[in-house]
Amino acid sequence: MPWALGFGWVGGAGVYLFFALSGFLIGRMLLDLAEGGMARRAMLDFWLRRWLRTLPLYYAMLWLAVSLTGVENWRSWFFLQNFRFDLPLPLPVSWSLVMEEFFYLFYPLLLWATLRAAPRLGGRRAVLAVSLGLIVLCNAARIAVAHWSVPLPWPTMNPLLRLDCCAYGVVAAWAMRACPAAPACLRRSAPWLLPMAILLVLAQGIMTVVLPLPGVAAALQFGHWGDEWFTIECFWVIAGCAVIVPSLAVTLPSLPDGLRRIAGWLSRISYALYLVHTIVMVWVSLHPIGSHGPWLAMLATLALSLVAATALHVTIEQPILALRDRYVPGRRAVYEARV
Amino acid sequence: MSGRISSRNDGLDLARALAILLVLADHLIGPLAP
Repeated sequence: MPWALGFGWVGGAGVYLFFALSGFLIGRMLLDLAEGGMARRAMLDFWLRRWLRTLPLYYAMLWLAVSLTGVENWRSWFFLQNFRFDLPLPLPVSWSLVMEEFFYLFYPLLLWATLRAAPRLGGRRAVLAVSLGLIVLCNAARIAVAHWSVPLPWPTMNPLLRLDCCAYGVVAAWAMRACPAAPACLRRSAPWLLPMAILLVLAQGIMTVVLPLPGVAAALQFGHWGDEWFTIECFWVIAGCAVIVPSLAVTLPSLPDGLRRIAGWLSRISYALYLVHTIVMVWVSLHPIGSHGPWLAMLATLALSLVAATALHVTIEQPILALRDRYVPGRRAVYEARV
Repeated sequence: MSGRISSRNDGLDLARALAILLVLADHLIGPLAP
Protein backbone atom coordinates (compact mmCIF):
# COMPACT_ATOMS: atom_id res chain seq x y z
CA MET A 1 0.00 0.00 0.00
CA PRO A 2 1.66 3.25 -1.06
CA TRP A 3 2.06 5.62 1.86
CA ALA A 4 0.64 8.47 -0.19
CA LEU A 5 -2.66 6.73 -0.79
CA GLY A 6 -3.36 6.48 2.90
CA PHE A 7 -2.39 10.12 3.33
CA GLY A 8 -4.43 11.48 0.44
CA TRP A 9 -7.59 11.83 2.53
CA VAL A 10 -6.02 14.59 4.66
CA GLY A 11 -6.55 17.30 2.04
CA GLY A 12 -10.13 16.13 1.58
CA ALA A 13 -10.74 16.45 5.32
CA GLY A 14 -9.33 20.00 5.20
CA VAL A 15 -11.62 20.95 2.32
CA TYR A 16 -14.62 19.38 4.04
CA LEU A 17 -13.80 21.38 7.17
CA PHE A 18 -13.82 24.52 5.00
CA PHE A 19 -17.22 23.54 3.58
CA ALA A 20 -18.62 23.08 7.09
CA LEU A 21 -17.13 26.40 8.25
CA SER A 22 -18.51 28.28 5.27
CA GLY A 23 -21.91 26.68 5.76
CA PHE A 24 -21.95 27.53 9.46
CA LEU A 25 -20.93 31.17 9.01
CA ILE A 26 -22.83 31.84 5.80
CA GLY A 27 -25.79 29.91 7.19
CA ARG A 28 -26.27 32.69 9.69
CA MET A 29 -26.40 35.24 6.87
CA LEU A 30 -28.86 33.02 5.00
CA LEU A 31 -31.03 32.80 8.12
CA ASP A 32 -31.02 36.60 8.27
CA LEU A 33 -31.92 36.76 4.59
CA ALA A 34 -34.77 34.28 4.99
CA GLU A 35 -36.10 35.85 8.18
CA GLY A 36 -36.05 39.20 6.36
CA GLY A 37 -38.32 37.77 3.65
CA MET A 38 -35.59 37.37 0.98
CA ALA A 39 -35.72 41.04 0.01
CA ARG A 40 -34.25 41.56 -3.45
CA ARG A 41 -31.76 44.17 -2.23
CA ALA A 42 -30.58 41.91 0.59
CA MET A 43 -30.08 39.01 -1.82
CA LEU A 44 -28.08 41.22 -4.19
CA ASP A 45 -25.98 42.45 -1.26
CA PHE A 46 -25.36 38.85 -0.18
CA TRP A 47 -24.08 37.90 -3.63
CA LEU A 48 -22.05 41.09 -4.02
CA ARG A 49 -20.38 40.58 -0.66
CA ARG A 50 -19.59 36.93 -1.44
CA TRP A 51 -18.19 37.77 -4.86
CA LEU A 52 -16.14 40.71 -3.58
CA ARG A 53 -14.74 38.37 -0.93
CA THR A 54 -13.78 35.54 -3.26
CA LEU A 55 -13.47 36.66 -6.87
CA PRO A 56 -10.74 39.37 -6.92
CA LEU A 57 -8.06 37.16 -5.40
CA TYR A 58 -9.22 34.13 -7.36
CA TYR A 59 -8.87 35.95 -10.68
CA ALA A 60 -5.50 37.42 -9.67
CA MET A 61 -4.22 33.93 -8.78
CA LEU A 62 -5.74 32.40 -11.90
CA TRP A 63 -3.95 34.97 -14.07
CA LEU A 64 -0.70 34.23 -12.21
CA ALA A 65 -1.16 30.47 -12.62
CA VAL A 66 -1.89 30.81 -16.36
CA SER A 67 1.20 33.00 -16.76
CA LEU A 68 3.41 30.56 -14.86
CA THR A 69 2.17 27.24 -16.22
CA GLY A 70 1.12 28.29 -19.72
CA VAL A 71 -2.01 26.17 -19.22
CA GLU A 72 -5.12 27.99 -20.41
CA ASN A 73 -8.66 26.74 -19.93
CA TRP A 74 -11.53 29.16 -20.51
CA ARG A 75 -13.77 27.24 -18.12
CA SER A 76 -11.64 28.38 -15.19
CA TRP A 77 -12.65 32.01 -15.81
CA PHE A 78 -16.32 31.09 -15.40
CA PHE A 79 -16.09 28.52 -12.57
CA LEU A 80 -16.97 25.72 -14.99
CA GLN A 81 -13.67 23.83 -14.75
CA ASN A 82 -15.11 21.06 -12.57
CA PHE A 83 -17.35 19.89 -15.41
CA ARG A 84 -14.23 18.93 -17.41
CA PHE A 85 -11.78 18.08 -14.69
CA ASP A 86 -10.10 15.63 -17.08
CA LEU A 87 -8.62 18.56 -19.04
CA PRO A 88 -5.42 20.41 -18.01
CA LEU A 89 -6.21 23.22 -15.57
CA PRO A 90 -4.07 26.19 -14.57
CA LEU A 91 -5.33 26.16 -10.94
CA PRO A 92 -6.74 22.70 -10.13
CA VAL A 93 -6.92 23.40 -6.38
CA SER A 94 -9.84 25.75 -7.14
CA TRP A 95 -12.19 22.75 -7.53
CA SER A 96 -13.51 23.28 -4.01
CA LEU A 97 -14.03 27.01 -4.56
CA VAL A 98 -16.22 26.08 -7.54
CA MET A 99 -18.38 24.00 -5.18
CA GLU A 100 -18.77 26.95 -2.81
CA GLU A 101 -19.51 29.44 -5.60
CA PHE A 102 -22.29 27.19 -6.90
CA PHE A 103 -23.67 26.96 -3.38
CA TYR A 104 -23.55 30.77 -2.91
CA LEU A 105 -25.35 31.27 -6.22
CA PHE A 106 -28.02 28.59 -6.03
CA TYR A 107 -28.86 28.36 -2.34
CA PRO A 108 -30.47 31.84 -2.03
CA LEU A 109 -32.42 31.17 -5.24
CA LEU A 110 -33.73 27.89 -3.82
CA LEU A 111 -34.57 29.65 -0.57
CA TRP A 112 -36.41 32.40 -2.44
CA ALA A 113 -38.34 29.85 -4.53
CA THR A 114 -39.24 27.83 -1.41
CA LEU A 115 -40.56 30.89 0.39
CA ARG A 116 -42.51 31.95 -2.69
CA ALA A 117 -44.08 28.52 -2.97
CA ALA A 118 -44.74 28.11 0.76
CA PRO A 119 -44.76 31.53 2.48
CA ARG A 120 -46.34 30.07 5.60
CA LEU A 121 -43.23 28.03 6.21
CA GLY A 122 -41.41 31.08 7.56
CA GLY A 123 -37.78 32.00 6.92
CA ARG A 124 -36.14 29.87 9.55
CA ARG A 125 -37.96 26.66 8.66
CA ALA A 126 -37.41 27.36 4.96
CA VAL A 127 -33.64 27.36 5.61
CA LEU A 128 -33.93 23.96 7.30
CA ALA A 129 -36.17 22.63 4.52
CA VAL A 130 -33.84 23.77 1.72
CA SER A 131 -30.75 22.45 3.53
CA LEU A 132 -32.22 19.04 4.32
CA GLY A 133 -33.74 18.86 0.84
CA LEU A 134 -30.35 19.51 -0.75
CA ILE A 135 -28.67 16.94 1.51
CA VAL A 136 -31.21 14.25 0.64
CA LEU A 137 -31.38 15.03 -3.09
CA CYS A 138 -27.63 15.38 -3.63
CA ASN A 139 -26.86 12.18 -1.73
CA ALA A 140 -29.54 10.33 -3.71
CA ALA A 141 -28.15 11.75 -6.97
CA ARG A 142 -24.58 10.75 -6.08
CA ILE A 143 -25.64 7.23 -5.11
CA ALA A 144 -27.64 6.92 -8.34
CA VAL A 145 -24.74 8.15 -10.48
CA ALA A 146 -22.33 5.70 -8.84
CA HIS A 147 -24.78 2.78 -8.75
CA TRP A 148 -25.85 3.02 -12.37
CA SER A 149 -22.41 4.18 -13.57
CA VAL A 150 -23.92 7.27 -15.23
CA PRO A 151 -21.32 8.39 -17.78
CA LEU A 152 -20.49 11.80 -16.28
CA PRO A 153 -16.90 13.02 -16.55
CA TRP A 154 -15.52 13.24 -13.00
CA PRO A 155 -18.80 12.99 -11.04
CA THR A 156 -16.87 13.62 -7.82
CA MET A 157 -16.11 17.11 -9.08
CA ASN A 158 -19.56 17.96 -10.41
CA PRO A 159 -20.76 21.01 -8.44
CA LEU A 160 -24.42 20.26 -9.18
CA LEU A 161 -24.07 16.85 -7.54
CA ARG A 162 -22.46 18.55 -4.56
CA LEU A 163 -24.75 21.53 -4.00
CA ASP A 164 -25.14 20.20 -0.46
CA CYS A 165 -21.45 20.86 0.30
CA CYS A 166 -22.17 23.74 2.70
CA ALA A 167 -25.70 22.67 3.70
CA TYR A 168 -24.43 20.61 6.68
CA GLY A 169 -22.91 23.71 8.23
CA VAL A 170 -26.13 25.64 7.52
CA VAL A 171 -28.07 23.01 9.48
CA ALA A 172 -25.64 23.54 12.37
CA ALA A 173 -26.20 27.31 12.14
CA TRP A 174 -29.95 26.74 12.07
CA ALA A 175 -29.79 24.54 15.19
CA MET A 176 -27.79 27.17 17.06
CA ARG A 177 -30.37 29.82 16.27
CA ALA A 178 -33.56 27.79 16.46
CA CYS A 179 -32.73 26.35 19.86
CA PRO A 180 -31.61 28.99 22.38
CA ALA A 181 -30.24 26.27 24.65
CA ALA A 182 -28.12 24.75 21.85
CA PRO A 183 -24.81 26.52 22.65
CA ALA A 184 -24.97 25.55 26.33
CA CYS A 185 -26.14 22.04 25.47
CA LEU A 186 -23.34 21.66 22.92
CA ARG A 187 -20.81 22.92 25.41
CA ARG A 188 -21.91 20.28 27.93
CA SER A 189 -21.79 17.47 25.38
CA ALA A 190 -18.62 18.62 23.59
CA PRO A 191 -16.24 16.49 25.74
CA TRP A 192 -17.64 13.34 24.09
CA LEU A 193 -19.22 14.80 20.95
CA LEU A 194 -16.07 16.51 19.65
CA PRO A 195 -13.84 13.38 19.91
CA MET A 196 -16.62 11.34 18.27
CA ALA A 197 -16.83 13.80 15.36
CA ILE A 198 -13.03 13.84 14.98
CA LEU A 199 -13.00 10.02 14.99
CA LEU A 200 -15.69 10.08 12.32
CA VAL A 201 -13.45 12.22 10.10
CA LEU A 202 -10.39 10.08 10.91
CA ALA A 203 -12.38 7.00 9.90
CA GLN A 204 -12.33 8.44 6.38
CA GLY A 205 -8.54 8.04 6.40
CA ILE A 206 -8.78 4.50 7.70
CA MET A 207 -11.30 3.58 5.01
CA THR A 208 -9.13 5.19 2.33
CA VAL A 209 -6.44 2.71 3.28
CA VAL A 210 -8.68 -0.28 3.92
CA LEU A 211 -11.00 -0.10 0.91
CA PRO A 212 -8.37 -0.68 -1.80
CA LEU A 213 -7.05 -3.76 0.02
CA PRO A 214 -7.67 -6.94 -1.99
CA GLY A 215 -11.13 -8.35 -1.41
CA VAL A 216 -12.50 -5.52 0.75
CA ALA A 217 -14.30 -3.63 -2.01
CA ALA A 218 -15.74 -6.90 -3.33
CA ALA A 219 -16.93 -7.90 0.15
CA LEU A 220 -18.71 -4.55 0.46
CA GLN A 221 -20.06 -4.99 -3.09
CA PHE A 222 -18.27 -1.87 -4.23
CA GLY A 223 -17.53 -2.15 -7.94
CA HIS A 224 -15.20 0.75 -8.47
CA TRP A 225 -14.68 1.72 -4.85
CA GLY A 226 -13.50 5.27 -5.56
CA ASP A 227 -16.73 6.38 -7.21
CA GLU A 228 -18.97 4.68 -4.71
CA TRP A 229 -16.97 5.65 -1.68
CA PHE A 230 -17.23 9.34 -2.46
CA THR A 231 -21.02 9.11 -2.31
CA ILE A 232 -20.69 8.13 1.34
CA GLU A 233 -17.79 10.31 2.44
CA CYS A 234 -19.42 13.45 0.99
CA PHE A 235 -22.16 12.88 3.55
CA TRP A 236 -20.63 11.72 6.77
CA VAL A 237 -17.27 13.45 6.66
CA ILE A 238 -18.84 16.90 6.08
CA ALA A 239 -21.53 16.06 8.65
CA GLY A 240 -18.74 15.24 11.13
CA CYS A 241 -17.02 18.53 10.29
CA ALA A 242 -20.33 20.37 10.79
CA VAL A 243 -20.32 19.02 14.36
CA ILE A 244 -16.65 19.88 14.91
CA VAL A 245 -17.04 23.54 13.88
CA PRO A 246 -19.71 24.67 16.41
CA SER A 247 -18.19 22.38 19.06
CA LEU A 248 -14.86 24.18 18.72
CA ALA A 249 -16.67 27.52 18.75
CA VAL A 250 -18.43 26.84 22.05
CA THR A 251 -15.59 25.04 23.82
CA LEU A 252 -12.76 27.34 22.73
CA PRO A 253 -14.25 30.85 22.49
CA SER A 254 -10.88 32.25 23.54
CA LEU A 255 -7.47 30.62 23.19
CA PRO A 256 -4.20 31.27 25.04
CA ASP A 257 -2.55 34.38 23.60
CA GLY A 258 0.20 32.71 21.52
CA LEU A 259 -2.10 30.12 19.98
CA ARG A 260 -4.72 32.80 19.35
CA ARG A 261 -2.23 34.86 17.36
CA ILE A 262 -1.09 31.92 15.23
CA ALA A 263 -4.63 30.62 14.65
CA GLY A 264 -5.88 34.15 13.92
CA TRP A 265 -3.07 34.80 11.44
CA LEU A 266 -3.55 31.47 9.63
CA SER A 267 -7.29 32.05 9.63
CA ARG A 268 -6.96 35.54 8.11
CA ILE A 269 -4.60 34.38 5.36
CA SER A 270 -6.30 31.00 4.82
CA TYR A 271 -8.07 31.92 1.58
CA ALA A 272 -4.93 33.46 0.08
CA LEU A 273 -2.88 30.48 1.28
CA TYR A 274 -5.35 28.06 -0.26
CA LEU A 275 -5.10 29.77 -3.65
CA VAL A 276 -1.40 30.58 -3.73
CA HIS A 277 0.34 27.50 -2.36
CA THR A 278 0.02 25.34 -5.48
CA ILE A 279 1.31 28.24 -7.61
CA VAL A 280 4.31 28.49 -5.27
CA MET A 281 4.78 24.72 -5.61
CA VAL A 282 5.02 25.08 -9.39
CA TRP A 283 7.38 28.04 -9.07
CA VAL A 284 9.67 26.16 -6.68
CA SER A 285 9.72 23.13 -8.99
CA LEU A 286 10.91 25.37 -11.83
CA HIS A 287 13.45 27.18 -9.64
CA PRO A 288 16.95 25.80 -8.88
CA ILE A 289 15.93 25.47 -5.21
CA GLY A 290 13.56 22.70 -6.27
CA SER A 291 16.51 20.57 -7.37
CA HIS A 292 17.97 20.31 -3.86
CA GLY A 293 15.77 17.46 -2.75
CA PRO A 294 12.07 17.12 -1.90
CA TRP A 295 12.33 18.16 1.75
CA LEU A 296 14.04 21.46 0.97
CA ALA A 297 11.55 22.09 -1.82
CA MET A 298 8.70 21.40 0.62
CA LEU A 299 10.07 23.73 3.29
CA ALA A 300 10.76 26.46 0.70
CA THR A 301 7.22 26.07 -0.64
CA LEU A 302 5.75 26.32 2.85
CA ALA A 303 7.78 29.40 3.83
CA LEU A 304 7.20 31.18 0.52
CA SER A 305 3.49 30.33 0.57
CA LEU A 306 3.08 31.83 4.05
CA VAL A 307 4.92 34.99 2.98
CA ALA A 308 3.03 35.28 -0.31
CA ALA A 309 -0.35 34.67 1.34
CA THR A 310 0.33 37.32 4.00
CA ALA A 311 1.39 39.80 1.31
CA LEU A 312 -1.68 39.03 -0.81
CA HIS A 313 -3.94 39.39 2.20
CA VAL A 314 -2.53 42.81 3.06
CA THR A 315 -2.24 44.21 -0.47
CA ILE A 316 -5.32 42.76 -2.17
CA GLU A 317 -7.81 41.25 0.28
CA GLN A 318 -7.81 43.86 3.02
CA PRO A 319 -8.27 46.92 0.76
CA ILE A 320 -11.03 45.23 -1.23
CA LEU A 321 -12.78 44.06 1.94
CA ALA A 322 -12.57 47.58 3.34
CA LEU A 323 -14.18 48.95 0.18
CA ARG A 324 -16.78 46.17 0.26
CA ASP A 325 -17.71 46.90 3.86
CA ARG A 326 -17.98 50.60 3.04
CA TYR A 327 -20.15 50.32 -0.06
CA VAL A 328 -21.97 47.02 0.51
CA PRO A 329 -22.33 46.81 4.27
CA GLY A 330 -23.50 43.59 5.84
CA ARG A 331 -26.62 43.61 7.93
CA ARG A 332 -24.93 42.96 11.25
CA ALA A 333 -21.46 43.62 12.56
CA VAL A 334 -21.29 40.09 13.98
CA TYR A 335 -21.26 38.71 10.46
CA GLU A 336 -18.32 40.76 9.33
CA ALA A 337 -15.97 37.80 9.66
CA ARG A 338 -13.72 36.98 6.76
CA VAL A 339 -15.48 33.78 5.85
CA MET B 1 -22.01 30.10 27.51
CA SER B 2 -25.22 31.15 25.89
CA GLY B 3 -26.39 33.35 23.07
CA ARG B 4 -24.83 33.71 19.66
CA ILE B 5 -21.39 32.67 18.64
CA SER B 6 -19.45 35.62 17.30
CA SER B 7 -17.71 35.08 13.97
CA ARG B 8 -14.58 36.43 15.64
CA ASN B 9 -14.49 33.36 17.81
CA ASP B 10 -11.11 31.74 18.52
CA GLY B 11 -12.56 28.25 18.05
CA LEU B 12 -13.69 29.18 14.54
CA ASP B 13 -10.27 30.66 13.81
CA LEU B 14 -8.70 27.43 15.03
CA ALA B 15 -11.00 25.36 12.80
CA ARG B 16 -10.07 27.50 9.79
CA ALA B 17 -6.37 27.23 10.63
CA LEU B 18 -6.68 23.45 10.96
CA ALA B 19 -8.50 23.25 7.64
CA ILE B 20 -5.80 25.12 5.71
CA LEU B 21 -3.03 23.16 7.47
CA LEU B 22 -4.67 19.89 6.39
CA VAL B 23 -4.88 21.09 2.78
CA LEU B 24 -1.23 22.19 2.89
CA ALA B 25 -0.17 18.90 4.51
CA ASP B 26 -1.83 16.96 1.70
CA HIS B 27 -0.19 18.96 -1.06
CA LEU B 28 3.23 19.52 0.50
CA ILE B 29 3.86 16.29 2.44
CA GLY B 30 1.96 13.93 0.13
CA PRO B 31 4.56 14.21 -2.68
CA LEU B 32 7.32 13.21 -0.22
CA ALA B 33 5.85 9.71 -0.04
CA PRO B 34 8.38 7.07 -1.13
